[in-house]
Amino acid sequence: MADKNHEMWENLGMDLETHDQLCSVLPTAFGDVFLSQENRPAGMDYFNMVAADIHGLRPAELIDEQKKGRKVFGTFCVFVPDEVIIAADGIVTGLCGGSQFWVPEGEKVLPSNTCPLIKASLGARLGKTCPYFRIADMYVGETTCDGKKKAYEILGEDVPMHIMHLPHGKRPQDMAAWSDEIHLFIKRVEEFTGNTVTLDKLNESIKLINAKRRALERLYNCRKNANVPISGRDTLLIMQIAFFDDPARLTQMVNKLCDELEDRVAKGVSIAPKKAPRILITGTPLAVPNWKMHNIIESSGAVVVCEENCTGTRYFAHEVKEDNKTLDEAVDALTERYLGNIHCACFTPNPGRMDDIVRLAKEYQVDGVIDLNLKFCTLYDTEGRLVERRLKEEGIPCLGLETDYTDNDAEQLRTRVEAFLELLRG
Amino acid sequence: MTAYYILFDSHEQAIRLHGTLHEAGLPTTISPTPRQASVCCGVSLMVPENEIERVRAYLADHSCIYKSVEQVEQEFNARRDIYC
Repeated sequence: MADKNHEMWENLGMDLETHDQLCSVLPTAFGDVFLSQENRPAGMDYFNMVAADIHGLRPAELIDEQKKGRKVFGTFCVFVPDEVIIAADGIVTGLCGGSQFWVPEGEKVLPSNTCPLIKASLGARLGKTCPYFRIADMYVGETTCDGKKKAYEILGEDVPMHIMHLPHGKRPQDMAAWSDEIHLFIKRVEEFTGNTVTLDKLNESIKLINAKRRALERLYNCRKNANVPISGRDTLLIMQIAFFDDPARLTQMVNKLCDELEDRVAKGVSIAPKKAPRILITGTPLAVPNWKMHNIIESSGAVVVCEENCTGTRYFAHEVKEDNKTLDEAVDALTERYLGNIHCACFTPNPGRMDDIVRLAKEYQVDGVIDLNLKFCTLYDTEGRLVERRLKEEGIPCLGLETDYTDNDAEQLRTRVEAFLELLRG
Repeated sequence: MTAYYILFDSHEQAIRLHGTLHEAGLPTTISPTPRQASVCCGVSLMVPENEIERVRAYLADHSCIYKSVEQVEQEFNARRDIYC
């Protein structure tokens, strides 16, 4: 297995020696965060396997598909409609970097006061230490923040790149502009793959991704119960894997796990101690393998029951209308789902996010909210004031935290989290 | 704490044996292979110390396909705060 992986990584032109340093950290970190838990659902076996060989199994599948003539598209954001790529027989893989390991390489070309997600993403590509970044035939960026926009220009010098220009509002003219962007994207994907996005193909891919959304929503619904059948850590891992795994298989494995979780709920099985404070995390995305805050919160005696972020509810909430009669109608359906329903801090104003946080806090019966943001993310940091104010009005306790991918603030974060949990316990 | 890892040449072998052992009432955990056991990023099966003799006996009796069984001293600690 190891030899096959090394051969594959070598063929991808990866820096094997540096990459090996990342490989050496994974088993212990994974053991500490995930395998240290008691009473995990058996259905986590599949996700353990994917994570255990995260740079081997799925990359090998992607390369096999490329040999058959299929194209792999790397994406960085939940605004990019997977349905379009899949309708052209392409494959989608998420590319956001979530490890400090990649940050120094990114800092060689980016200002140090850029958010760690952007630095890690560039570092993974330019340092040649991530197979997914090597495999993707085309990257698809989007204009959700200034840092990403400029970073994509740098990446575009190294790899074919398509940028989707996301409007920063939700007015009718913004919806029309996003619909135009999706049409342009269809054209670019068709040219790149040599395949036509037909109405039938698009309707088919809409159903495929809606099924994945329903499975993930079912997983989240299990966490609404008083007895929580799965930890926040395990759910986070599943969500992170959802960004790069085969969508049909992922749907099947999540639904299989949910059968077990619903059985646990019926039997009153909980992974959390009685009266453990229930936490909702909101804020910036948690790209793989960023497990720090979930681990700190849950190993401090609380349980994370919901994430209102791009690696949480924003990824699966709201389905795209199915069985569209024309291609334009299908694009309108995509426009409505993506621009109309994803409430990112890049929008101004962005009241939908505040409403979502409050609604989710009630649905998941949370005791407190942690507004968790990556350092140097101006949009979410600034919007944090509005989040805090709205939660105060609603009487929901909130703790704002800012961090990056390094380990050196972990003790300080633990102290703040534990003080917050004490407050929640009364 | 002593743990045991069953190592394989492919993840398919690991999944197959995981299922077989599970059906035989011998639960194992699919896990990344620890560096002490092998320098690779592969999939292995973690066996708790109190089950290893039963697992070894099963492996011997049923001609199971695997690479090796390695003993590892390890302690998982959720408060270690060393991440990837």
